[in-house]
Amino acid sequence: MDKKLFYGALCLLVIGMVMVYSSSSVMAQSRHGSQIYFLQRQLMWLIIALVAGWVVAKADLKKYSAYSVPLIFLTLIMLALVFIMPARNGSHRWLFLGPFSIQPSEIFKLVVIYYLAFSLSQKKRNIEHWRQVVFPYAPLIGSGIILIILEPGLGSALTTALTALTILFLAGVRVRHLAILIVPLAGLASFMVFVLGYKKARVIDYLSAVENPLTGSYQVKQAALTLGAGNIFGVGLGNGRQKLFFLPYPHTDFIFASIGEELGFVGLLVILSLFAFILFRGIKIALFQPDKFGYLLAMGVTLTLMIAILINIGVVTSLLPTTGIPLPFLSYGGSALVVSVVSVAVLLNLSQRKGMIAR
Amino acid sequence: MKIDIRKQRLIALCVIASLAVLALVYRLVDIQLLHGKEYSDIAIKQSTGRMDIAAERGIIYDRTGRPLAINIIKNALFAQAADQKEIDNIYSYLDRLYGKPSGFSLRKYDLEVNKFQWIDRRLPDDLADRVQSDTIPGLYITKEQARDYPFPDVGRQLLGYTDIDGKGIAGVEYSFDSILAGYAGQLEYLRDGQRNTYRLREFPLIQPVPGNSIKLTLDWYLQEIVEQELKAGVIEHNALEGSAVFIDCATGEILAAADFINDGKNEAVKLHAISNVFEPGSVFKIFTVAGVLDAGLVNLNEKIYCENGAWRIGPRTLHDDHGQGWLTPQEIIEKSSNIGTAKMALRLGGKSLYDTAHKFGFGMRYFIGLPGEASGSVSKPVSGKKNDEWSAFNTSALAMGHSVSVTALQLAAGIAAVANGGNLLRPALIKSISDCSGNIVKKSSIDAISHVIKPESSSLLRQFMRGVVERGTAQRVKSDIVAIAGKTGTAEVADLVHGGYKKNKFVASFLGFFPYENPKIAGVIVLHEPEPIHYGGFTAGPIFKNIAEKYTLANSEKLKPPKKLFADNKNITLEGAPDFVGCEISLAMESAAHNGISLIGNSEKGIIVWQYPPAGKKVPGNNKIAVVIKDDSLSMPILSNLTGLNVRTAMAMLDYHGIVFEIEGSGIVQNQEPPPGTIIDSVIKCRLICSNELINEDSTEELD
Repeated sequence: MDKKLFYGALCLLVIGMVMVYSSSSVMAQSRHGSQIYFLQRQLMWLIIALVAGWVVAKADLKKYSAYSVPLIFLTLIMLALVFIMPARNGSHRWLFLGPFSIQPSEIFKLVVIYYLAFSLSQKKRNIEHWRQVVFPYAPLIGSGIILIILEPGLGSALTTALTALTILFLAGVRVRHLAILIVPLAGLASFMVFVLGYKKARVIDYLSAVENPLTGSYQVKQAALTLGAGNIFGVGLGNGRQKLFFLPYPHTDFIFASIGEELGFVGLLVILSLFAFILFRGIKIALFQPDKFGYLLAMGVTLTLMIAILINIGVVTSLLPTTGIPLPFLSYGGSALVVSVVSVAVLLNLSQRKGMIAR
Repeated sequence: MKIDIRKQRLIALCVIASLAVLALVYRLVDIQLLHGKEYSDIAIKQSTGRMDIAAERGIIYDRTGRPLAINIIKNALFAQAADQKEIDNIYSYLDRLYGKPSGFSLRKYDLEVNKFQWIDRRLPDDLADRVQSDTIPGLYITKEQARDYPFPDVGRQLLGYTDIDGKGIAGVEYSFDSILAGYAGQLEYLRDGQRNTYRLREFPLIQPVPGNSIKLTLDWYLQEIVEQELKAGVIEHNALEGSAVFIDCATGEILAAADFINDGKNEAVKLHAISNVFEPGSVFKIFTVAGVLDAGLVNLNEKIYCENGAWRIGPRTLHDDHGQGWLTPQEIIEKSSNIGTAKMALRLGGKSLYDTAHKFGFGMRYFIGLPGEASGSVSKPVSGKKNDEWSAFNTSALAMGHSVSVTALQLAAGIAAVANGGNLLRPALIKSISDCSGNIVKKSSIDAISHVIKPESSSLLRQFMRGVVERGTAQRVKSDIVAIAGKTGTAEVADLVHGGYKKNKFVASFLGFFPYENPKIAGVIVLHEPEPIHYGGFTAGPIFKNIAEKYTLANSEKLKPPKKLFADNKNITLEGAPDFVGCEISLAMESAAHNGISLIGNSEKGIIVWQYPPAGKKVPGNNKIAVVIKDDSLSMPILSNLTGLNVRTAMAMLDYHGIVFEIEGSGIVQNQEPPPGTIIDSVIKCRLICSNELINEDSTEELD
């Protein structure tokens, strides 16, 4: 087992817990009457994530890989079921099961990776041929992504799509075949934005915010102020002021800004290094895999983490338009935490397979 | 081949990812390091607020230290709702809180989302507790300073009010607002992005400066008596309204001033006792006779013919209510004969009478500091085409208190001058001003405006006024408890619309002082249009008597003759220097001589305004006390003879005058430069030569 990866991930999880508490305690007190409301829930989710991770780490992933096909149908059904659930913050993203709420879109992302790793490593599949690529991936994965867009969960859909496309790219699919998949998507997106005006304001906000974050939307501006307030060394753990209802989502999507305020540029460099370390270990594990399945699966989970990290930080630093994507390991939120831990568990599992190429 | 493509693609991916990370790091450097200061300032600014810290308003005390206006903490209820749901909830809660029908609050308060609005800034404690425990979102309680008047029914026209923000809007609160208010401070507090302020982490930037406290000259005990008796009298005599002013004879300090308006509301914003003018009528005869006596124009035993009640003067006829024959000047005052007074006034002449009225302070403002003080006016008793001939009839009219308009305050100040030996003192309202730690920052001193009449004239007038009570028009004022002296007045009300006088409308008044033997308090009662009895001696007089009696019973000690002036026991051992301030110098010297003390002053007549050592302090071994006398015959003060004073006393006197000085030697002043009698101006410099040689008693006295 890759102990370095294990400890690296553990570090991030611990930092995540501390920062979730620091950035959410005021809001928790104000909205739920308890400072540790969010921390408690996140700890509970951590236990669930660790159990799930333990199971995944011990399982023979290759043996069960054929189940990824029914699994993907099951998740598609879950993605459809969210629409009969009550909306939260105006979107149907969650399935409510008693006290828990889960996001099928997060599960879908993992399942897609599992499925692609399984499917693309099949000997019978000839990825040189465009039909073999476009079918069945376009309808299967595409329908899931459309469901996620409809939630609406544009950010989640985007990461899933990016992850899937990158896996196909790494698997050796011809670029022009990928273009068959990308061009309609890009066309659809442009059409929605520029013709239908969907989220047009966001796009305009985004373009001016890249230039100067203070001219962006309220949350973009507050995120920049939060980061700026931190300067080199930060204002100190717990001393942040922006979490006093200035910065929206200080403990979820914008936790990176909260950390930047309290721990400063130096703190963020530490976080970025830890992320880079984990991604580096993921790629290394992928390279040592004895088969294509292992390579694609390891790269898949590494990619899904990487894409979420880059997009989240890109949004917080106003380099990317605002999309609701949590920061792996750190943001408050059960499904994302489980996905992060399970991703690492997959890598840990793959790191101890028989027949690893020793180098 | 396949492996190669995969490797290439992985490398491509890693390059793209690395570039992305580089972009992010560059962006973080830009935001956190390059713009860190700028963004940090904006972030701090948006999370901090500044607000004023109210300064504590000064307290108002009466002369004895009773607090009259104080500060208390009140609950203030305000609303700031986050959304319409909260507003609806607040409306229905307020209806329940105040026990009003549903919908009442909706009509009364105009709440808006996220807008601060006061609901009730004087919320009673029990309701405040309820609101606190119910914690309605959007409805909050804060503590505010509020003004409170421990004697809510006494002296309100004097004290006035403050508005809800603590700014004086009437009376003393208004006039002296700049003294009482202090300066607001400012604090910085932490606030959040919604509407909450975190007062826990507040830090004052500027500390508030509390206002100064004011000690008034008023005696709240007397004020209460005056108000009660005035009210009772106005109601009993069915008058429109009444005013009263009482003054300390020796100092000019106003002890009480009140109005009662008989309209069921009694809500005067201005104090009518200082703002309303009227024709005084017969009470004014005292001032006429003062002028005549002081000029030495009548013999006390002389009989003046009062024409049996009707005397033709020029084209008109003067009348007396009860015709009289031959009367002495005293009898003229006791019986209030118009004809007798007129005859005496004509000896004085129109010009001198006119001047006398002005000398007694009529036609001028004292500027005691309350809003609306009126000056009144004295008409020049002239006639002729060019108004250049002194008119006998107009002089007679002025002598009887017509063609002159006065305020109750002016009458009281004038009669105080008659009672105290002839010194017109500026009526004072402020005794001292002290800062928040109780240190006195300003102390008002006696302001002797002028020496109006000789002490002998004053003494005679006191005797006449006592006669009025004992035998004359004010026999109802005679008291077994305190000897009152005074003069009644019953004047027709001038008709301001049609000219002339209103039929059967009178101003009834009584002007006097007590105790007769040792005048302490002078005062006036004025009733406007009492019906059906309108004589001053029957209406205003008894009110004065009731007040004097009640005050005397409660303050018998204060009204006893002071030992210092009338002590004939030469062996009395003094604890310290007697209090000479406010005394006539001749009387003070006589009293001091009894005690073996010599007074060193700069004049032989006038009123003592300063002494050293101060009252109660040790008298120097040479038994010399330095005094400064205000002498109205001098335009500028003059330097005393300092020779023989010890250095410390001499220095104190020079300090009082603000004179720059130098001293040679120590002990007793032997010589001074410039000599005594030099006028004290701004450039005068003084040089004292001292030694211990001649007088040994003070040899231990060192400069300090």
